[in-house]
Amino acid sequence: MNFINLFQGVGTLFVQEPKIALARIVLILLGILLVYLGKKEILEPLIMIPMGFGMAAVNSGVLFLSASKIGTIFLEPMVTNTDELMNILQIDWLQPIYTLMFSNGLIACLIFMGIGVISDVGSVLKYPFTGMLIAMFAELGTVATFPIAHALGFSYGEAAAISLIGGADGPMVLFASLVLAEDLFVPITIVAYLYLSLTYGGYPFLVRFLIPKDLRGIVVKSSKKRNNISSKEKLAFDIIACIVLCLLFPSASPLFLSFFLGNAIRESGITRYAKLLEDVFLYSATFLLGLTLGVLCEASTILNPKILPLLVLGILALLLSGLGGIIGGYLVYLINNKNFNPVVGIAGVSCVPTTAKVAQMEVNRVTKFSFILEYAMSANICGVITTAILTGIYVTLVPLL
Amino acid sequence: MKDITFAFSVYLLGFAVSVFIAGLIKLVLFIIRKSSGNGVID
Repeated sequence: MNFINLFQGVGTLFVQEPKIALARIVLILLGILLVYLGKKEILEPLIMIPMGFGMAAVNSGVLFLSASKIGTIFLEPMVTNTDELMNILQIDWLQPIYTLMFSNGLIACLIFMGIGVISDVGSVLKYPFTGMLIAMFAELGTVATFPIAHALGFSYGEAAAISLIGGADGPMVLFASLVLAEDLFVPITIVAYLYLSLTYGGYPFLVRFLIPKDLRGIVVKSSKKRNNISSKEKLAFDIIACIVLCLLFPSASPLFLSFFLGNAIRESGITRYAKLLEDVFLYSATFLLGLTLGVLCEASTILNPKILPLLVLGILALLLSGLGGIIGGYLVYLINNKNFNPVVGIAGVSCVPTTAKVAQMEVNRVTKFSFILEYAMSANICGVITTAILTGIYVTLVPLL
Repeated sequence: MKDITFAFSVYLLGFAVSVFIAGLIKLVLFIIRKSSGNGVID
């Protein structure tokens, strides 16, 4: 028995193509970096720590599966033959999660149910037109990136999935890329989650750059008395909006059902279900999502020539969406006779609740007396709804192109 | 040009549906508050 067969993780480095071996080492180091950045909370730790571990482990634990085949016992994403799949399900330990939760979009729906439980739609019901207007402006990247991506050589499906990074909603990108861009869904989803983690650090600079300090400090005076929204009203909205959106876009109906059902459970006061969806479903699905995405990052993934333009397009989509959101904020500021804080615009980018927090924090840097969180949450949750609508439109129309 | 037209159509359709949903919210609140005798918002 020689060294290569005894320590196969190391041994395979010497028998693989040099560029694959090098890519494995780079990905192991990147995995360590993601864990570090997650621990430091520079990137989202809930995703990055399991993803970093998965990435490092899958590129370390490569072995000889047979005399001619090198691989891992984590999972096989590209298997299509049913007999082969049945074999792999009994060998690769994460294959059941991938096949039964990931590739059918269930994991995205579970996360969406959790998001529904933690979202209070009361602010949406108080300011529906303001929220929707800002949220639609904040979808600028979601549509403007589409023709650019197609011009760079991506297929229509891939271009649509990449554009949805601009919607800043991880589960939506995952769902759309599984439907529209199966071959590229791993890199698209990883890029989406990496960049979404960066919105917390990047958007404050965009806000400071585009909105002068005196406008950031505007205190919004409420001229109308607005009644509080009751649970009954929120529940009525949930069921009606769910039915209408499912009628309009059946191909995205799992996402609509998940979000509105989660929210309906919150508003119904079924605390045991609410705790189940938030504490168990949301966090289990987020953990498994991070781990599975990490494990999918095998060396061949980063050697795909489409990765570099994808990285550029992802950041462009989020930048355009942030820009669009701020334009929307300015528009509402003008419509309301300057009685509106345009910083709310950034919250239209639907990274719940990160961008709403960014908006309030940026206002707090200027004045402690301006409280915009309710407007920001309205725009934020409307952003989730508008991104789901655009996902539905893309998933419905792109296959017809 | 076809791609830009498509993207613009997607945006317009999304905008129309969003405004429709916002209008629906107002309508739902109006009906609920009218039927329960409470004040109507806005």
